[in-house]
Amino acid sequence: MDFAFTEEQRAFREELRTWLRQNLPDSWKQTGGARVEETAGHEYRREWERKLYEAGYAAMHWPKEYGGQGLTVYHSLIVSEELGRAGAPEPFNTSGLETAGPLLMANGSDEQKRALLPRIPAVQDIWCQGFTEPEAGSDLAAVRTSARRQGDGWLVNGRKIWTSHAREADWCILLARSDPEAKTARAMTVFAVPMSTKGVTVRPLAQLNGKTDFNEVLFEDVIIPGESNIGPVNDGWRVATLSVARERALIRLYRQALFQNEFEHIYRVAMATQRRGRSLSDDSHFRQQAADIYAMLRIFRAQNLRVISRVDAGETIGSEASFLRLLWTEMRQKIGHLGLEVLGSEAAFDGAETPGNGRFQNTYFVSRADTIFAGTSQIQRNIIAERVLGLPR
Amino acid sequence: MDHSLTQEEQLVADTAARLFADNFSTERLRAFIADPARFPPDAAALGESGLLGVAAPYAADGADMGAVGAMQIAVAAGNRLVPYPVSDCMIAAALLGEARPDLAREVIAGRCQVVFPADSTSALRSNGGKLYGPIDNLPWGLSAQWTIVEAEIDGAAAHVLVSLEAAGVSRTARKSIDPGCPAAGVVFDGVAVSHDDVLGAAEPKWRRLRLIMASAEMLGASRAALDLAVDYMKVRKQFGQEIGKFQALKHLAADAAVWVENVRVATEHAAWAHDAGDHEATMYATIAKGYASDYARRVVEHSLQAHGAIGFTWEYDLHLYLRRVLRLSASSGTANDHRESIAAMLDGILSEAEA
Repeated sequence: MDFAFTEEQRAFREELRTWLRQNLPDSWKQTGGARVEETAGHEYRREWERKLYEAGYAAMHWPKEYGGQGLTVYHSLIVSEELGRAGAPEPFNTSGLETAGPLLMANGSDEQKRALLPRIPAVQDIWCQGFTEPEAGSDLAAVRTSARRQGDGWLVNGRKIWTSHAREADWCILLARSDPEAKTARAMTVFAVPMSTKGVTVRPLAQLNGKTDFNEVLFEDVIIPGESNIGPVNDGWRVATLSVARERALIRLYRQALFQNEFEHIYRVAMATQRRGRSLSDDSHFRQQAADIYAMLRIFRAQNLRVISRVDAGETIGSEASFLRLLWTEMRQKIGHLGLEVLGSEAAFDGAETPGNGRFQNTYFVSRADTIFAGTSQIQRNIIAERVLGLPR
Repeated sequence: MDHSLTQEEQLVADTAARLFADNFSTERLRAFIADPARFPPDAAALGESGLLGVAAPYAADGADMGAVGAMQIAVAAGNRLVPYPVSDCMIAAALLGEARPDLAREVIAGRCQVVFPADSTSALRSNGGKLYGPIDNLPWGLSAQWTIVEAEIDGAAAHVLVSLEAAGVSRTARKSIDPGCPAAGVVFDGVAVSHDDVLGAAEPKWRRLRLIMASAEMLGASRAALDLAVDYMKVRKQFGQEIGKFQALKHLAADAAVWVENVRVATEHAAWAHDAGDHEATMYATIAKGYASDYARRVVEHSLQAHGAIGFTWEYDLHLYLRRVLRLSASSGTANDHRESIAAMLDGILSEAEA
């Protein structure tokens, strides 16, 4: 058993740390850009991601021919960790890097790979993910959006929802029911659809935290070319679920360092906050809660190192991903609560004038979504109970 | 980086699991609980296996495999509720290896037991070459021959080897919450300490190792309790179906499985950091013991809940696992104690970062 990084990996980390010190604006450091995000928004994040790519810090383990660096998953982990640690902007093109990319690599035709893949790390194409529907949330197999053969092409009709970055996206990775006669519930196909296609409409959805990161996407008599499918026709369920599992396990690792950054920000504010005649960080209830979270943060990191070394050894990450998901989402909600506690009476306000510049309120709100998106905590528990513990369905 | 066990580590884990399964059933444990004098734990097979020397140096016929090796055995011991001070003897054999290889070999062979006080011995005083003061809780204190305590010798904290049969030592039985581990209260009233008994400075790494072994035992015991619960849920029927089909119970079990996995990874990582001399080794060991003390107990509590009333009976084995976890979580610092230590370390880390 060995959790040590190699000499080369440690040197790479140092080099990246130096680059970040020189290139990340001061306003982002340690505060996660709570102030910047409100003014600069998506354009800034897109710009930042391009800058990372140009410096050679994007898609570290992707092959060079697809715009990656041709290095190892450890390099990806190190980049994720250092970005999170520095409080850098959250990755913008996540659907491209986490979903479309790996899906194309595993299932795409040579032509699709050549044409589409290199544009993802380069931030030339932003992708959005069209899986979830109003009636197909946790129950993804209930997808209703249809794709029917029409002449040489496909005719797509349906409605997708909770689609992040659909307004900025150039492409949509679409899951649609492709065989209306099929007896099996999973006769679907995955398609790559340009968002500029006639009949595609995006409607922003205002979220509970006041932001509009996600959208509703309508497909009304949308005609796409016959060779738009990624992977075999009617095999979309496998394509959509299996090939993204590994990449998800990898890319989401940036969260550990980002959460630790959030937590340390809260702890430092607590050190500077006087409550009942002493520093809040001297309060034993605060200390117990904080230490519980910190333990989970470090256990989460150790879990990540295990995942990475397993992926590197060629093992597949299956249902165990649910263990990590439940660990970090519960932990993030505890961070959300701790932030509110540190704010105290200031938590009655939702502005940048409060300690943490509004970051803690946002962490709290977003942490409530963490246990919902991409499979709720209840779905994760079902997966563990049935597929890991072998309990009857 | 390779998370998996080396062939040698895997061999140790398999050997321990097999040995304990063959020699330490809960029936035997119950016979021991009913009459410890008539049914003492049979240490012959354990001694022959050499497992207790896993962390001891080669010089004492040990395997020098560190905390990662030792934790495999502690997990298996916790899993089978072995009524023997397995962790203490592994640590003692390692600690004695350099200064007293003769005694280390005896410990490894299962011919004598060397045990550690459950908590800090800061109440002990040394005066004129003699030790005075109480040890509130010495697990296996009645049957063991030796203990290793921390005491101030010539102005520095040192490990001191004390014979429990020496003049000036009095031992009283105390009722342990874990009947598979009888405890004693001990008082030293002028116990002579010779030069040979002073084993060297009480380095923090030994306390760290004890935290890691306690976490590993809790991991084994809580895993066994969860396994019992899952097996039960697959066969017990109510309302015409297996209770394992009920989502409320599935979620209890799933949460427990997550916690077991977290305890496992926390302990493995702490063991690795300990062996590697990582600069955060103390933080990791504190996290492992603090987390395990809280969450391993919750795992057993969920397992108990999933069983319904049968789990609350003395006849059913579940309480034996609960009791082992309760004892270990109350020893060497509680969850709250360790969380306070983590916060104290965080104070240091975060005020430094600011400067």
